[in-house]
Amino acid sequence: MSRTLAKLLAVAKRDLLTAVRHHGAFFVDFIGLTAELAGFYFLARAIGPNYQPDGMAYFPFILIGSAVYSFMVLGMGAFVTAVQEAQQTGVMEVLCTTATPAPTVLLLSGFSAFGRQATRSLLYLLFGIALFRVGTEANIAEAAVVLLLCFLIGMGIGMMGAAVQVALQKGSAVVWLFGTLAWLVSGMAFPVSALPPILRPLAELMPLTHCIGAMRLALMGTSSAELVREISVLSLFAVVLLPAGASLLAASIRRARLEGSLSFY
Amino acid sequence: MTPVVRLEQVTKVFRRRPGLLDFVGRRLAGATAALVDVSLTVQPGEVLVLLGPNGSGKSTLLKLVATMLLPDQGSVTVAGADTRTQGNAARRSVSMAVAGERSFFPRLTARENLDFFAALEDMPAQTRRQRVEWSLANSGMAEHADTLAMQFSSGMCQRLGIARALLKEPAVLLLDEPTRSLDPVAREQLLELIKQQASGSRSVLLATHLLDEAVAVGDHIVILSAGRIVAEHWTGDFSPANLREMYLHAVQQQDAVRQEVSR
Repeated sequence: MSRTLAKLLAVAKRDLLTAVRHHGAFFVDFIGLTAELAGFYFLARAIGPNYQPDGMAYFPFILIGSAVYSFMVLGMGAFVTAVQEAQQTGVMEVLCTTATPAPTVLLLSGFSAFGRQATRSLLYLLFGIALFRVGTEANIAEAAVVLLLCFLIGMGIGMMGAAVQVALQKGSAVVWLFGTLAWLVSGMAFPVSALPPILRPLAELMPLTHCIGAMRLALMGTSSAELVREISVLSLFAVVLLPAGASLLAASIRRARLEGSLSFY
Repeated sequence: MTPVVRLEQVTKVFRRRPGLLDFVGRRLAGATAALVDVSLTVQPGEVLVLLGPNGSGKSTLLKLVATMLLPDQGSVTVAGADTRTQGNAARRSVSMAVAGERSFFPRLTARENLDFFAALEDMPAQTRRQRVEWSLANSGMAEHADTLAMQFSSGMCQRLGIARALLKEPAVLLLDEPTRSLDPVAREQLLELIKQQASGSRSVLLATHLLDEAVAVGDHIVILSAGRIVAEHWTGDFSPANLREMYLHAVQQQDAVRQEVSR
């Protein structure tokens, strides 16, 4: 356990140093984030206070939806990008010859990517709440449980994307497909009830729909029975997607070792 | 003595998959036999040099020992561990440095890069620090330890690759054209380092085109051509002058056989 923790710290240190040495990246991200929040705020003002999707004002509705969406989709994207960069620089082959099994190394990179996105999303939420004075009745413990489950689901799908990246060098397509579908059906910007009936089952099958729904329930302090149901659904997704992603990633690395395509990109 | 590396009748074929559209894919699909029925052993403390023209299978052989590749037929064992079924155990005994190294994190310094890879090698924090400093010193990188990897020349990247390969004190050190980007002094230092490494029980597998390099450090020379072993010599069999003859003879003979087969 302590060895795994030491490796996780080494990966996190690598990513942190790389991030802070990209001069200006933090500043650009901060401007982008502020502009996005302001855009949502003025959109909510233009829509007016009478529109209350799922029983809440529109600004907190889209603020939470966007924070969870960014956490999941950007986290997955960072995971796949880490694999892609490792392939392009040749690091992938070296990582696959260390004493740490290759899927574990990639998993740790995924942990680090999602950790960064969790921090970003938290700052995004806090900034939005403080700047635009959103009243919340947040249950921090419930929100933490939801975040953990979203993290596990994101890791599962991220590993699937990484597996596709290793096998076909097209992991970014998985993230793009997931992100686009999720934008449409997850209820990020508008409630699922606004979708045509034919798309609603797809929304139910999309883990992000439940992540966003559960986080809104946890932060806005509405129906706890509904939150329990959403947490159960999220747990089921996590139990299925995490081992499925890990198996797929291990299989794709083994296949790449057979084909000699570990460093293809 | 038990060999530290054993290849038994190893065949490795690279297949190119057809594209999704058959009319495009059919032309591109095919297979290249990189190694055919190769068997060899490496003893502890031995420097085995792989010589051969481009595309003869030298790098493929090293990658098979490093577990970056798995054999299609036959078996590869490293320190008694089969790379197919006991890959993790095999990886603990082997490390590799290749020519044109750029496999580093560009925004980390040389020291930070080595520390990261040392962590993945399961080294405790105290040992890690000592090994990183030892590797930097022995590869001539100590004075560049705090320089970002993206600022390194290709020769310095190559040295850093060698420093990384030395980190875990492997039983088998694999070097693929390690002197390609090095200046003459650095080259001499590296060849000296290779001899030092093999003076204990560590074995070295070195792939190169340079015959003088092979003579300078090799105990055992294997000449590959078109994925096959065409000649094998031990210390005493060869001198700089006759190795060139042996090399050309072996490769020409193999080319003649290939042309005969293709007719």
